[in-house]
Amino acid sequence: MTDEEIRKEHEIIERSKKDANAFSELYEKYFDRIFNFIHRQTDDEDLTGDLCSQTFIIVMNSLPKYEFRGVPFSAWLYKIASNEVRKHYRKNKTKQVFSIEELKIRELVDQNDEEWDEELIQRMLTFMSDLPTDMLQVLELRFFEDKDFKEIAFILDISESGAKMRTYRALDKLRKNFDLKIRYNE
Amino acid sequence: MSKNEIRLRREKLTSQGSERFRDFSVIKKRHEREIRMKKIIRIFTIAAAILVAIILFLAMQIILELRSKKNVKEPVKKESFEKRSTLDQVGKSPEKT
Repeated sequence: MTDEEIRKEHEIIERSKKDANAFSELYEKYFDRIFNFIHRQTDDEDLTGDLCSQTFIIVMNSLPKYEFRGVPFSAWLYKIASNEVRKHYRKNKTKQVFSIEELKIRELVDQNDEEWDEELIQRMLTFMSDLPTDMLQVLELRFFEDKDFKEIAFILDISESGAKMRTYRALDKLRKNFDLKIRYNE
Repeated sequence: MSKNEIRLRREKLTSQGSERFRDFSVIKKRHEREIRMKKIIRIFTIAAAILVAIILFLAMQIILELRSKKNVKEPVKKESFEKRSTLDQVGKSPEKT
């Protein structure tokens, strides 16, 4: 995001604090991203719709308290959405679902197309399902949502070094277990 | 048993799925309703706090009033007690004097 974009967004936020109608611009801009982010953690459209609405209502209610803290406004939206998903699973006491796109897994692992087979993907999914939830959350934000570590730390309420450590541990496990080259090393 | 459930999505997520849930007017209405409710709750809490303060004040007033009434009666008792204690010190009974 450029400085100009951040400044413009800040102006809209300030306007939205006084007039709720002004928030529609931000709603339209971020709705899809937040919807997809929640959908990846629920795999249920109706539930995603409910959690997404709840997220935006909380955002609108808390907007007067919003202050710029060195991360984009979207990180704040992701944080609230992430809390809503966590709250849902805590309340329902069910296993957390992660719906991962096949394409994203292929992007994550540096592998030739002919070396890919259904069995490898299934083995990877089984392996990932055994990873701790916090590791999966970090992987999801880093590789499927393209967030940097500073944003991930803000969204998950952890330190930046903690976010890095979780990511590297998860990638290390993938490397060791599957003898694969991981495309992301930074 | 696995900790999480990983599901594989063959196709990419598109904005078409989310379209039927996108409605800013609904969000805005709910936001306004919640703000209104918050205001009502705040007014109700303040009113309740004022009511409690008034009740406490009145209760204090009644207690103080009762105490002052008791204090009007108590000096007579106190006097006779003091008289008795001074007589005791001298070693005389009130009948003898």
